[in-house]
Amino acid sequence: MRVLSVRPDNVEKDIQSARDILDQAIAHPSKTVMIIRRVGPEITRFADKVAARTDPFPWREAVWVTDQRIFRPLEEARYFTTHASASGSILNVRDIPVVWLDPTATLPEVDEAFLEAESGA
Amino acid sequence: MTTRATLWLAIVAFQTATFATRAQGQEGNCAEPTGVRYVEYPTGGKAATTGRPLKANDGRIVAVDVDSRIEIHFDTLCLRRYLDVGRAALNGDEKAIRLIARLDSLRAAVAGIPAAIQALKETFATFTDLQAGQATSQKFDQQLRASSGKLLRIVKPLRLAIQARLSEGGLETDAARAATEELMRPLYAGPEPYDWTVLSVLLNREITATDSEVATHLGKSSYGLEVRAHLLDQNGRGFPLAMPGHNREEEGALVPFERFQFALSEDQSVLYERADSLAKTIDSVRSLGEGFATQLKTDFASLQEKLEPLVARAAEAAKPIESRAIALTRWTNPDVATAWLQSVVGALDKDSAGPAARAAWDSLLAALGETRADLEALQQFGALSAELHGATADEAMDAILGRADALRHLIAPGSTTGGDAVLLRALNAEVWRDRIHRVDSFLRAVQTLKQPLRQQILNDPKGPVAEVRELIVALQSAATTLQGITQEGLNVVANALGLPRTLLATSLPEPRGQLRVKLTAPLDTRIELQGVRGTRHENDVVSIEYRFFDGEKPLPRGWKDTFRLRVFGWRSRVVAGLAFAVQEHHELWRPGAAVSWHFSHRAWPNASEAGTGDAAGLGQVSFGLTTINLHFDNAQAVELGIGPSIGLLDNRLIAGGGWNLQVSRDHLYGFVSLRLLNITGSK
Repeated sequence: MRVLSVRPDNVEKDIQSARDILDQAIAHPSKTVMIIRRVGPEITRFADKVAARTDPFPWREAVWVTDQRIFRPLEEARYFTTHASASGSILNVRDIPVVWLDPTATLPEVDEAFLEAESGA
Repeated sequence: MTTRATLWLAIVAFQTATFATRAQGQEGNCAEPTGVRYVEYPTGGKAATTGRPLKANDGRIVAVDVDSRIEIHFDTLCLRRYLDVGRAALNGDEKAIRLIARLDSLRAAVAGIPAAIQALKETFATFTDLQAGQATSQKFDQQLRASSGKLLRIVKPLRLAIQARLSEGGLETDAARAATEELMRPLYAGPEPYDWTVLSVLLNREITATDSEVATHLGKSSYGLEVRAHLLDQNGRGFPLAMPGHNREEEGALVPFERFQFALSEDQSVLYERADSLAKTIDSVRSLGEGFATQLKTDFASLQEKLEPLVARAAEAAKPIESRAIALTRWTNPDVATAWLQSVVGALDKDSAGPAARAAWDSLLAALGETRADLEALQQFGALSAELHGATADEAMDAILGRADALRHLIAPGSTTGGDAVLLRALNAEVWRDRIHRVDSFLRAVQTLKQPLRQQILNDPKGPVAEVRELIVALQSAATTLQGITQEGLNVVANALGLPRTLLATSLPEPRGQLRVKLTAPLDTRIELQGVRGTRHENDVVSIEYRFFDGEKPLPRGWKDTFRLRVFGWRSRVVAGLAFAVQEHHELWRPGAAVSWHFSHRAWPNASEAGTGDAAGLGQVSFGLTTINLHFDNAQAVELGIGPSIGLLDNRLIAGGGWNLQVSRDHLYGFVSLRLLNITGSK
């Protein structure tokens, strides 16, 4: 999992670097990408579960955006659409957000979310 | 060990570990009204990997390849709904429906695991190829869709089942989700994407728990099922077939059918000897027509002797039924039957025993319809009696051929395929006894109705009770008359008239360790044709019978499915026959026993095709070589000819030419071999 953050003394460079990483992950033609947003203990537990279901699969990628400034204008809304409570958005291989998860999602639910995104179900 | 190797090992380990837990069919939508469906896996054609879906209880005879595996899948919920017709037992029971649907989805999940493991393994391989530039993104995308779809159909039903069970046990939704996560955590804990052994354990545990809940909820009145399968050979003998989970018959070693024959089989040897003997008797003929007429007369003389006693029995059996013909006509008229039912339906619906009585009435009506058709068959067949008695071979031939077409085309009411040979059914004493049982069941069902409905039906002058009571005597008489008709006797009729033999068997041996299985148990099973102990022949029949019980009480909802064994793809056969050959520069046609080695091809059928082809084999063309024991030159003790030939009508007509190996001149000859009748039933 890639964790993208912004240091107070290096804001612009970190944001640019994080955007490049995020763009690169999303642009991969054969990877399903989970974008995680926000921070907090619940999000950390959620991120752990996401990592547990991405690590065994080389075609799955997770990117945790810990600072909202990393998203370009409207980019966050594009990924999370109307799912205000969602902390995770899965983009399929065509970079379309297809499944959204609340931070309370369980490990089996995270796994199913990836499978749904990959299968087009 | 690499991920790929580990996955491969996991497939083998998992398939072994889960063999005992047979899978269920698709859940829910009742695409098959009975909830039962077949999938044939032949050894060739497109269906070899995808399987060829076949319908259950659709009344037609379907051909399957002689080397196939036939899987039988049960959708328990749909099967229950099928059995509930007239009882409305399950329709209002939401909990039962929910539990059974859950059970079906869990069993479907178990069934899907080997394919999911394989698909995931291929996805890993494709991704590796993609990284190496040896596969396209499109290919990977397709592979990923397939494997993730398969996995989703396994893990989701498992999670939902565990969660539902915990919620129904009293846990709040969030607590049930958390507990489900803990129960499923070991599935994701290993170094591989999934721990397949854990998955198997989790699924089996849920199936057992749900099974138990269904049994507890439905109580003692749960349904039972007995499935029997037999292989019926050309002579109507039946051999029980192994069906794991339903009987304890043992499968033999897997032996493929001998598609390419290089020598005469036993029955063809008999035909060859007969042809050789005929050739010596007939000597020579001036024309082909004269030759065939001579052959035909000889065949019919043999047939006449065997048919006479059967025809006499049919005529005798028809008499007592004829006396009840008026009643049969009345009650097989849908308007009369419906009108009577309408007159009592209101009261029946209010009576707790009403649904059972209605089901017994429906079953009886079906039997009466058959009886009427069978009476006509017996009368038609029995009418041959006077014509055959004391007749010459020519007269017998005319009589049989005169009625053969009418008899062959007698079909069951509602059947449009002609596959159901009414005459064979009419000659079967067991069928008549089954009708007695159905009449008896109806009368007993009426006796269980409450007063005054019971008296109303029993004493109704326009009702069926009085007439069906009298019918029992006639049915008993017919069954007694027909008792003792041998399989060989029926075989003669079937061969003479070219009838399907599906109804030949009168009493089939009970499979060893036959089980009555509750619908809560795993029901899926299979028939492995290559594992049939004993020899299988083309045109043998696999008959699968379903019997249902409500507690200990039999339910009149059973049926039989019939599959005819065919050889699809390429094959070669060695066939014997009597040929008439004419030498070049000569006019006389001389008979000779012939042996042909012929190749033919039959296209593999798709799911919508019955695959049986036409009974006469009109579409079957074959090519090969024919050797004939010729009799052109009296100076030669042994005179053999060999040459190319073409076979038509499933080798009933073989024509060609050849080279006489013994004579000093006029080596060339032409020949035609026509197999008109075949009393032995060999092909």
